[in-house]
Amino acid sequence: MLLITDNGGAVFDAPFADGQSFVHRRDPRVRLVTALFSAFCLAALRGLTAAGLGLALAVFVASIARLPWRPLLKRLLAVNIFMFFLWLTVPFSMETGTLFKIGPLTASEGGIRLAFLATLKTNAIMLLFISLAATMPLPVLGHALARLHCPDKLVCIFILAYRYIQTTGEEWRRMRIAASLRAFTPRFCPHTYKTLGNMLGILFVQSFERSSRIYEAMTLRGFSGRFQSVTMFRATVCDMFFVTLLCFALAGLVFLDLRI
Amino acid sequence: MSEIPIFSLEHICFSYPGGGRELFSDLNLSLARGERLGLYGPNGNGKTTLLRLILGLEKPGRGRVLAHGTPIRDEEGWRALRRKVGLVFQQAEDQLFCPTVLEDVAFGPLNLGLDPEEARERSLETIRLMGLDGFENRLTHKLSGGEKKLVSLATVLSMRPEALLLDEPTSGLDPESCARIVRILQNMDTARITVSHDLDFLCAVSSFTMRLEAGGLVRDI
Repeated sequence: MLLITDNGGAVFDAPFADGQSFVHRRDPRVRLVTALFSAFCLAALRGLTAAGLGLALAVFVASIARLPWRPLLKRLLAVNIFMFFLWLTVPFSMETGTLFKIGPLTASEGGIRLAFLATLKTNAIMLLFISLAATMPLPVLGHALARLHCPDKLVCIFILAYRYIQTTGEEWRRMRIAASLRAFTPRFCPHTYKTLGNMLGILFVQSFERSSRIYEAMTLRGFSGRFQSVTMFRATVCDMFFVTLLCFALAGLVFLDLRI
Repeated sequence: MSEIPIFSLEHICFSYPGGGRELFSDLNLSLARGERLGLYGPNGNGKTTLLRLILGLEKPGRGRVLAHGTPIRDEEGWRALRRKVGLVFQQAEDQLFCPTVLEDVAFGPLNLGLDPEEARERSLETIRLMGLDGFENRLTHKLSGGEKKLVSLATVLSMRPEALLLDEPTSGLDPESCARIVRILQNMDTARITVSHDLDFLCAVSSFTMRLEAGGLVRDI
């Protein structure tokens, strides 16, 4: 979710966070727990039928969430690049049922089945996570994690990182502009490495000093380790209906998978 | 007998570790309810350090700080004083660490133990008071310099402090934003120490001024 843009600034990219769909309006805590539960259920499936149905369920939830398709495809492409490498190795590393041979390599039926199963499950989990968890702004995600009793320190790091990644990125960009204004052009030479090293060093020192100033500002306003929030979460009947339906569907998948 | 001051510094000596020169030798200062002190002086004479000493961000070599007449001995004492005395940094950037304006203004009240509903209401009220209506959901890092200054003042005011310490509240602001800060400060009777290089501004928002000379404070008449 973190991008370093061309001009050196860093932004958190949250293309799914804005929206008014049925899924967006559900309680963030409920969505997070459901996403986690569904990941466990889908990961446990062993049969292709159940995994296929799982993917269909994920596509259905994604369609309710009305996700913008371009960033969605980009995210799915990223995860499927990993799957591509799986397809390069897994079909040739099992013994059951020879299908065809390429030189010394033997592609097995069992191997292809396994790679296909992994692909189905991965895409289903990814789609459900994007639909349920990526559809909330990052600060909301942080506070929802806090309400779900995620450790305070992790929540703190998450929320502050979201705030300061931007500032640090801007600082880096300012330094690069200042350098280029004094006729600095990066080349493959020791001078360039030394300059970039110095800039990076300054960035670390400044960030460290800033963090101590921020910590002071936080203690001055009574901070004692817990990031509290005015964001209020209310689970409604509609949320319960949504989560029950989804969990029943997932449990049904697991049951079906065990029966086949 | 006169009223017990909100805080007082007694016989403070201070020099930065390894800095050599003594910044303060036997400095005394106190602030009572309703007092509005304007503080000025050359760069490097320790105006900011003085504010940091009051809240225990720096510890004096000798001397002591009293809160409501009681010497502060431990971190618990500092924590209690910090709940009652608010400091507005010169660099607003460092004071705004929450994603949105509302979350940032509510940060102090929540830490004071208010429940989310109360904290939200008090924060919205403070935001309105500062003339920042409609800013509550803006992202803090996208505010302009002047807006950051006003919001950072709001984050401290929402804690309803007994006293305020303002470090260069107008530095880098355009005349219009300056005038706005002056208006807000003139309408507020909270005791405060304002540090600035701008004497006109200091006189407009303070009931008396002091000059920080090398080593000590001199009161203007």
